[in-house]
Amino acid sequence: MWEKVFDYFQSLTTNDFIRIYWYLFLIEIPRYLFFDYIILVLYYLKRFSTRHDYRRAQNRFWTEQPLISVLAPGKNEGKNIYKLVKSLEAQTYQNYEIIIVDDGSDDDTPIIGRSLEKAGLIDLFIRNQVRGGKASAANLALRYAKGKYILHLDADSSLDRTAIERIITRFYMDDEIGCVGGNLKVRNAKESVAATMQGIEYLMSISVGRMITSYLGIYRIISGAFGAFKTDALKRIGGWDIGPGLDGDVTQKFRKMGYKVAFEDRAICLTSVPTTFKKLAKQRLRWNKSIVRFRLRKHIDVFFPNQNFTWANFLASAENVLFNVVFAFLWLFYMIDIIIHFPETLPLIIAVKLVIYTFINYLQFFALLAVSERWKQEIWFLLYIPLKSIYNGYYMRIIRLMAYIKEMYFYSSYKDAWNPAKTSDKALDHGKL
Amino acid sequence: MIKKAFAYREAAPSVNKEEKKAAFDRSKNAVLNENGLDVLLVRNFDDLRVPTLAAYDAIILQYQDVERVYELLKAVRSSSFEEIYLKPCFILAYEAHVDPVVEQLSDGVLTEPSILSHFAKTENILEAMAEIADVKTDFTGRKLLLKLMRYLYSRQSPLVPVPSKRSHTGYAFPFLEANVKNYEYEEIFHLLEAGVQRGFLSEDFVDVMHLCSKCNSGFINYREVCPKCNTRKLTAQNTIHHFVCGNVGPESDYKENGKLVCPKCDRQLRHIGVDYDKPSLVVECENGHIFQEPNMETFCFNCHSVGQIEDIVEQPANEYHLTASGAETALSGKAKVKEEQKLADGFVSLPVFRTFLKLEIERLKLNDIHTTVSYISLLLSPATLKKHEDNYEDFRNDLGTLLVEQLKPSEIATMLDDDVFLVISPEGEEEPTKQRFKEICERITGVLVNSLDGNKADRVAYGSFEVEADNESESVMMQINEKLKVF
Repeated sequence: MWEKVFDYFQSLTTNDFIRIYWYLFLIEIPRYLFFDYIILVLYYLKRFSTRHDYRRAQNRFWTEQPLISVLAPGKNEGKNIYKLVKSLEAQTYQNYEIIIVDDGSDDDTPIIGRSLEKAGLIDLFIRNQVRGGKASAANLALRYAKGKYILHLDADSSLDRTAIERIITRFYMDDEIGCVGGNLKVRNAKESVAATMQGIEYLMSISVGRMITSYLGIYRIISGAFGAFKTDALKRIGGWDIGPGLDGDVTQKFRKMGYKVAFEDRAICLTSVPTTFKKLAKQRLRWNKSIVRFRLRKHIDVFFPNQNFTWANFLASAENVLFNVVFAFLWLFYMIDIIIHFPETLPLIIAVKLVIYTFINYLQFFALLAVSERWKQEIWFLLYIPLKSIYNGYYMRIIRLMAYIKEMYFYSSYKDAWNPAKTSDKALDHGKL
Repeated sequence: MIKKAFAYREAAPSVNKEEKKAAFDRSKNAVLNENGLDVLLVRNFDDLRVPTLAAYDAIILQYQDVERVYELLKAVRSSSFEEIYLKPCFILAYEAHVDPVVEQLSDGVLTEPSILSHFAKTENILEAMAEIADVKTDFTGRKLLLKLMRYLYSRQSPLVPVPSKRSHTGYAFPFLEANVKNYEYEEIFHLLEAGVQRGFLSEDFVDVMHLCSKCNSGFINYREVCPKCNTRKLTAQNTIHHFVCGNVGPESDYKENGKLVCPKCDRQLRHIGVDYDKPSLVVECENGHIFQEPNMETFCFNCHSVGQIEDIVEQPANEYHLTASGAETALSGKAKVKEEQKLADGFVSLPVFRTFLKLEIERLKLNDIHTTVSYISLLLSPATLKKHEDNYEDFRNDLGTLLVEQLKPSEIATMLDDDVFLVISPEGEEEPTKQRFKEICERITGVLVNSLDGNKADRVAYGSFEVEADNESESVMMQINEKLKVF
């Protein structure tokens, strides 16, 4: 079989190559290999050149030692709260309060939360009898937060010992920074192939993507699993709006307020990811629908010149829409074109493409491993790198396309059970918020 | 038949003309004759002496001053003599509401100065008194239990807890409280439990009292406090979740000129369940601490102690009925004192003890010496009583032997019913004797708890007093009886 692929590859003329693989060579390689990795080099260079600024910021932070409010809203997260508390106890920075909001759990979460509160392990446990959705739970926690900074965590997150110190230090490097995203890595990557692929994705695509956008000043999603915010600014924008996709939405609101948004790759948070491809598909459908819902509907104004227009906000959304939405449809047309015009050689075309992808992925992987702070724990990913081409190139693309179509034509994010119907219905009624 | 039973009445003052006249004088006491019964109508409490009440078949107390009536009824019910404490007593209250505790100490409330409406009841009581009065008893010791049984027997009604602010615990047992010094409620509970354990009383559940662990008071304030700073000034508020924008905060955040307006999106909230809901309740203390579940603490209005809910003592407030065994004991007047009671070695019988006491008093009259009488009461927990139900006499005798071993050769000891020992200490002064008996009782308690399968709740109470030369032996016995009442 490999002989056939090799023969086919050799038989291709330059014109054939451009005709068949134009999407790869015109879009993907320039964008995700050359551009990203050039910027990545610049990112590290900048970090090196600003290392003294970082140290000074660190000193300012330690001198002030501000109170940090750690918020962890969620439903049925009781089993994770104690682990989260223990992970926080191990932090180098200890001036924090923990506020847990139980969003109408129907398990033992209220008992666990209340007993941890009584034992003094968490500062405030608020139980909502009725589920209101993630945004409402986070907003309730925010209402009672006393800290200068908010650290929003998922209850199943756990942090590296220096994570809080590092993520908050970024605020002391630039007063205009309103929120900082932490670097997420996958804790349960060995649990299943689906989890492993996400481990690779978080390392190679999500983290890298955030470093690039952060460097360019167009970073647009502070993950809810690990993100820090200036409390006064977050309260001024009214906290979180109804999701799904509230992480990107709240970040956009910060950007619109004129705040800078930063990414701190050294503030590491481990998170648990879906362990089956079915669950993963559900999660990613939700995430991708929010691009349409928030970028193309709620915050469409960033594309129009008005009094709050900024090029950074324009580019942040434009890049997101172009590379995710527009190119997803372009890829669909590209695939239809290939299927129609080269039906006989389709398997060979795909096989060659996968080989090229795999080669590029290995290049990227080793480059990232070289700068990773925990490369020894990540090197085993190399066994699964060949699968990344299928995972990213086909599985994720198909999910993205489905999500965009569902949201564009059916407003399906408003029917997502992730949010209670009472809030989604209202959001839909009031101008598709 | 009733009158026949009361030989003592022959010595009672007869109803004279003056008393008959007094019936028409509303400021004086009067004697009424109703169906052959002499009934004293008490209007003036000042000149009344409780012992004189024995001369009448029934008493009517005019309800003018509740405290005077209450005090008199307590005095009657706390008397040591059956012919006094069992006396049918009625309250004459024309319209006034009678305090329930006072009412329960009486045998009924009258609306006119006549017992005819309660005549049958009065007759029954007098018949029961006649039965009991026939029995010659030297019963002292845990006399209160016997007294209670006799009271219940004569009334043919249960002992009912009365909810009352007069009672220290909230539920009063008026008859028992009248008989217990300083309202020793533990003793009341102990006595009732013992009565049940020994089969004299049966209990029916009525309620549970929640009492202060320090003073047994039932007047407790349960209050919510901040779990962080214990402050009591708390404000509770519902939170409001505005569906449209996802804002959540306390209700006060939304209140604006009598309307509910979302502080985040400025929309007015009109309809609960449609625009918003109230998912939780949040409490804030005056120091700004936020929480949902305040701590509960207790404050005793009586002793001012502050405690935790867990410390509160739960005590059943039961209704107590006399059992057949209780009725039999009430009639026999012997409780468990058996005629053929086996005395432990070293003890003399009660008549012999009385003789020694008389001789000792005579000796006191002739010589300048001191003689002290001591009493030792075994206050055994219901658990211990239950444990030794079958061999109680041997068990008690073991403790008696332990006592005798520690007495001086000149001292004379006797046993009263099941659980009281009396000792005459010739030529013994009060204080040193008391000190010696304190040590003896501590030793007995130690042996009781550690070696005789006792219980930590078991106690041995004691007391000593010096006999005066002008005392009669009967008055000494009465003194003992009075002192033992609290047990």
